[in-house]
Amino acid sequence: MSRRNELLRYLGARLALAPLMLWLIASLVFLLLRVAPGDPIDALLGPKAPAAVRAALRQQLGLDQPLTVQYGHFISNLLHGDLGLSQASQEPVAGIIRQSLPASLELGVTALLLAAVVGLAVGFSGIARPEGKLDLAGRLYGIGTYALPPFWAAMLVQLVFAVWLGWLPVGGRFPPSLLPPTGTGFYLLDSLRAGNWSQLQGTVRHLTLPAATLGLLLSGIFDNALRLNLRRALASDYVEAARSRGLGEARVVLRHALPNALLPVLTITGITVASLIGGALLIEVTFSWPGIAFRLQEAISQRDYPVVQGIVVVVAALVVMVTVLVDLLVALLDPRIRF
Amino acid sequence: MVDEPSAPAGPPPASQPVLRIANLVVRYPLSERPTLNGLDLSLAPGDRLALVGPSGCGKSTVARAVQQLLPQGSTCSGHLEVAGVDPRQLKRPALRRLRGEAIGLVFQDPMTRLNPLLTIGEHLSDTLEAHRAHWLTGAAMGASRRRRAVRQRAEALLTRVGIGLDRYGSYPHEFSGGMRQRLAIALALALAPKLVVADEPTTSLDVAVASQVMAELTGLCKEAGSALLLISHDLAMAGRWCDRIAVLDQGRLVEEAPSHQLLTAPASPLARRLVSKARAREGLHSSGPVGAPLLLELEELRSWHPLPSLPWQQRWLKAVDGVSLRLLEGETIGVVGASGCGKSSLCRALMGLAPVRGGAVRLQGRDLRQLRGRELRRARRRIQMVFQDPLACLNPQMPVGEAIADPLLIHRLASRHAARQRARELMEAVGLTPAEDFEHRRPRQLSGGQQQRVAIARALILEPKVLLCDESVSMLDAEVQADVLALLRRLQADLGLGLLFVTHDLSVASGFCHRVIVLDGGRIVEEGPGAQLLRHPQAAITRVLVDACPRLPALAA
Repeated sequence: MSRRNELLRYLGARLALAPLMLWLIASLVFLLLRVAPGDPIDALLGPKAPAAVRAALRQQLGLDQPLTVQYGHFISNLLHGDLGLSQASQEPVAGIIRQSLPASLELGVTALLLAAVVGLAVGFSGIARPEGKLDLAGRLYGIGTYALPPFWAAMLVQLVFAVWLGWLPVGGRFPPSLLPPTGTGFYLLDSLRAGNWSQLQGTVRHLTLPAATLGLLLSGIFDNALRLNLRRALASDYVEAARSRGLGEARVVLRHALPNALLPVLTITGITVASLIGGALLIEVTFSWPGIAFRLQEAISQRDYPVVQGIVVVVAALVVMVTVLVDLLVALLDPRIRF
Repeated sequence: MVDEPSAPAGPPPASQPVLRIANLVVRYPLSERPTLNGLDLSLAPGDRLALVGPSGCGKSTVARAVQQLLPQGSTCSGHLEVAGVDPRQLKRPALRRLRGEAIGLVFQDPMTRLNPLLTIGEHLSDTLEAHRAHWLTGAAMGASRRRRAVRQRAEALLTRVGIGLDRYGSYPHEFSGGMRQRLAIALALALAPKLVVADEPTTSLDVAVASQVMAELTGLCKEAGSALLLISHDLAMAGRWCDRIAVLDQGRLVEEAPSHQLLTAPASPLARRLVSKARAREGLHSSGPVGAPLLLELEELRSWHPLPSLPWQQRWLKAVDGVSLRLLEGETIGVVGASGCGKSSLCRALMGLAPVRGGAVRLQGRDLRQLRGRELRRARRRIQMVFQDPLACLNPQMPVGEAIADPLLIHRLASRHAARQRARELMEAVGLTPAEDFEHRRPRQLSGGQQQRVAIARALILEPKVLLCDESVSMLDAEVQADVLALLRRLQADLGLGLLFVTHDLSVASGFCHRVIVLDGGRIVEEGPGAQLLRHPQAAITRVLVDACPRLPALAA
């Protein structure tokens, strides 16, 4: 079989498993929400509401039915692509996600790019002189940023750059005095496409601090991963063999060691995307970034079951897609991988 | 042949030597004593010199020193001159040219020496590109013409070492060990260097492939007029492929002589010891036990593996296809064959690790295939195996004393204390004395020979009647091989073991075993005493194995 067919079959097999995984995750969220303490009626009406009103609302939201029936509804609606209505605002959950997901993606992708560029550069910089000053500084940077508590780092950044220096806004996604750009929901893209300078400026000014903070926190992973793998690759037998054939040092590093070191880093990137969601939650809350993690946190505190379920299912689907994509990329780049 | 052997520090020959080393001292960082301690060596153009010596004598360090590939912080003093220059004096670009253009290096393990992400062709063109000033004349050449020239030369090199041009875009992992080593040779000789250093180039290859690779290497060296420095622990191989042999001990040259002279009349005590060990490995011919009780009987044993196929026309990989043999108590049978002939599958089938599709295995008269459950487990204890790579089959975290005692605990045959005691007795029996010194060490803290002794002790603790040795000595260096073989022989005499000794090395098999069977395609194609097979091979595959197998020259009686 040709390698291309093998790849396609591999991709098919991975994607065929995705629905099963999503069903498991959806069921788990459904169950956990109902096992966890707290009542959505309390959250909506407060504890002092009369019993009759409470019962009426409970019936209206369908929360009086047996769990199995609720579960059946949830799954069958999910299969039809219907994520239901928010219990708190009666908005469709799909609409809430459509609004907030682009904000999160914009923040996440920018942060990930920043983290990759900064982290890989720092990781690579020490290679000329291992155990030298630059190498040590890079290692400290890696451990330091990795160990920073996200919310603390976020608040510090706000304090310094927004409050003391006043260079950039404290939070939010867009200046309230302007009309946000319309279109895809990705403000960077939309304002660029519209050619609206003030919109673009507003977007970038608001994006800078949260993206830089999140990127800084993630860059340590890239830094350490590249440093360790590059060291291992440079100590490997095939690199010594390449040197013994009289290849120049630049060629040895760039053509022989670096590609072999970057493969594991790529796998790590895939895992990082999943952990990005956790880090993004704290960043979005601290910077009042109206993204999906921010909405999730809101929905959890209101016991808004449909919104929590919908967001978790969509995010899980995204993570599954990214991991499959990374696996595929690694398989494309590494000729040794058989499927 | 080279003229009269020079004394260790003799004057250089008339022609400018390719390599001249005098009083070379190399010390690795963090090591207390120098690895090379006043070495003298000289190689004329076209010379073929073998460097032999016991493990740790500094053989491989010579290759590193010549190329200045020593780890940072090493010291290297004394006289060192390659093709008229001292590599230590060179600046980086000049040193880069020296590596590859003046010295080609072939490493021991072809599995790890190639970049897994580059194709075969890219390896060659990479090297040729880096040195294009050396071989490509006509400086102002367009990029596409240059690429074509590189490609042409790379393809010519591949063809020269017997790799088909259709493999130009293959990756190293798609190559067998022999093919990779051929590529390594093509890479080392790509620029026709004056000196080729080959560091144990065939140790990890099987005998038939090894001899092809060595023929390729020496042939290419002759064509290019390169001198060859062959680093090896195998005296027979050194004698077959090189004109002269130099013996190293603790970083010094102890003897250098024409191969034939050194192998038949070694002068120094070390050379005498190495040659006698090598001879011991090759032959202590003795006839097998007569009238001893029958231990193991195979009758038409078949081990077939199902291949992926349509359910109604099942295809099989017939790894072992109808093997019959009788092993007596105290007898050793050698199982010999080329890679893939089914010799390892035979062992695995006997251990119950591979499926048996037909035939009978009778151990002391009982058919193992009829037994089930506890009966079977009890019978299986009577067959134990010693693997090829002792380090890979020992748990790196487990002290060796525990590793040896472990089978007793697994089978619940002894209390922890009794198992420990028994393990200590066995360690003494396999020569790890005193046992108290060794039992708390981890496998990595032992030498290769000691590791294999641990593996043997572990196999013996269940008191087996049959011991399967699957290439059990092929990873050890020649001197240690002889010791381990002597140990097996002694244990056999003491315990009445039946040994099934699997190897690709016919000379070891013929020296060590009472009878030898030759497998090809899962069947026995020839059978008889080893000496007879070596002298009058009948089957085609036996003839190939005999030709491939380097032997020491016979002593003039």
